[in-house]
Amino acid sequence: MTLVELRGAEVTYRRAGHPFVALRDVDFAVDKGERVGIVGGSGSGKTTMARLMLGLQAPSAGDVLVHGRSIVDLPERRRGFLRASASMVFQDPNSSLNPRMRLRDIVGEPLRSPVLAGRIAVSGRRDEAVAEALGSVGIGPEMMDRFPHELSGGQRQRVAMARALISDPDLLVADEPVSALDVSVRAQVLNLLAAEVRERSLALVLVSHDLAVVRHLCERVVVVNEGAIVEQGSVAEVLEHPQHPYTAELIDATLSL
Amino acid sequence: MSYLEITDLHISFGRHHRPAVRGISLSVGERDRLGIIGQSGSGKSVTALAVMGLLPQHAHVAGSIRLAGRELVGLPERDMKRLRGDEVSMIFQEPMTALDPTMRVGRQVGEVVALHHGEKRGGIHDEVLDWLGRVGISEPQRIADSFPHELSGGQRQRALIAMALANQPGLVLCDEPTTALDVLVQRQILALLAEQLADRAAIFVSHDLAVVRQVCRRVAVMLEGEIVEEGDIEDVIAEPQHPYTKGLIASARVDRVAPGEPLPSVADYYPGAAT
Repeated sequence: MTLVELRGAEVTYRRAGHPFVALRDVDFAVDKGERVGIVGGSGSGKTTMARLMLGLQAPSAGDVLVHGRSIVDLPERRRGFLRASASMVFQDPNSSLNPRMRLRDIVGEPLRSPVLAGRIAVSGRRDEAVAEALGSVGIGPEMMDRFPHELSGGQRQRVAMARALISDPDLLVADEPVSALDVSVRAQVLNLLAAEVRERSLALVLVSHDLAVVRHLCERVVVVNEGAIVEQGSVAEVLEHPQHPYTAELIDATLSL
Repeated sequence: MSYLEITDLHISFGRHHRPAVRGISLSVGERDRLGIIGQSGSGKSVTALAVMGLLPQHAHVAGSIRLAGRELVGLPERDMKRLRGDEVSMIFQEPMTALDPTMRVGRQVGEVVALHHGEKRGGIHDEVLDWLGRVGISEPQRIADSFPHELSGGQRQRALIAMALANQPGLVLCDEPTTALDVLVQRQILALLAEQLADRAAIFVSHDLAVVRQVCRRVAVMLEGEIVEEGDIEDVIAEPQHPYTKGLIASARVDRVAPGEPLPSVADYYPGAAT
């Protein structure tokens, strides 16, 4: 079953007065429970693909379907179901978490959406849901009234995961979830991400330029360059036997110890 | 006598003297490139800022930092200012914040070049274009006429490297210079740094051992304000001694872990590691 699909998606910006094509005629689909990596350099269009899937941005041409339903012309008030089907973890928790909100409100915020509020009728249950979401990422209920600046970098990204998971989505989109973190905490966050995806049978779209991480977490990989998909296939096949020179270059530039 | 000699350096902040660096000693020879590895809060960046004389007013510094025989601790800002750029310069992580967004790139590089030229302003323009070319910018004139936001991340970092090198300083400090870049641009910038820093002293601060290895032959591992391990970088990678270093290396080897298996984390080896 297809969860999210991009059909002939195109995104064009105006940059310094000239049209700039960020994404050209991209077809992409994620099935239920599938783990897909989107890899490419900066400016390749990989983050734009992620934003389209979540309805955070509209395509200039083409279509975006969530559960088979086009979301492109959907008015804001009818987009509620998107929140229940897909969530996103952003690269830098320092900018994705509101510094003036307590963890209780940051993690509980998605529950304000009418679609989700129905699930949790009483406000007492809301705190319970927040505590449970925080607990699942290894943060105790005594931390609920803390602010983001009182946490370590790894804890902040775990809070961002709790916020993404509290709506019980079918799809988690993670955009470079560990690249802003210290090397020393990356493994913990990745292990947690892998465990949540497995236990909840979530579909995962992992946007990254770190091929080792994609190899570790995903089954399928899509390589994007200059706004177009240049290669795709199983992780083993693409990373062991790249067909496109751009993929080979990415593999070659990856540093290891 | 090394070009840079740090002896028993202590740095603390504020009224309560919150310690950041606890008595470290390091030396860097004239053509030596030293990597300093550590997690956030380990004191690595604070050490680099102390060498640049860029610590905030509320920092307390004790011990000695000698550059080409000259003591920098306690040096008046007026003298330190003269050293910055001429003797020691720094390449920062995020070129977008290190560059002035309202000034064309060529003028920013030109200001550094002008410091060196003193009175005679002639030839500055040519020297700017020359430096932009030397750091691998293919259309120096177009880039010189651009504002920082019109450049790609890699071009901005190259411009910053040109500014850091323009006065041929004896020591260059690099603080995570490739962390904000993707792997392809990172590879180009590391190759450029390895080439440009070959005949001078350099300190390369990073949390990523694989990155440091591309540029440095020697590495010091910092943890909680102290150096816990130091040596030839290949030896340290092959036979790490401190549990923190062991954890750092194990957790960086994502490619050696079978899919589905948990990745080793630094905290598995050293319980005090960041979380």
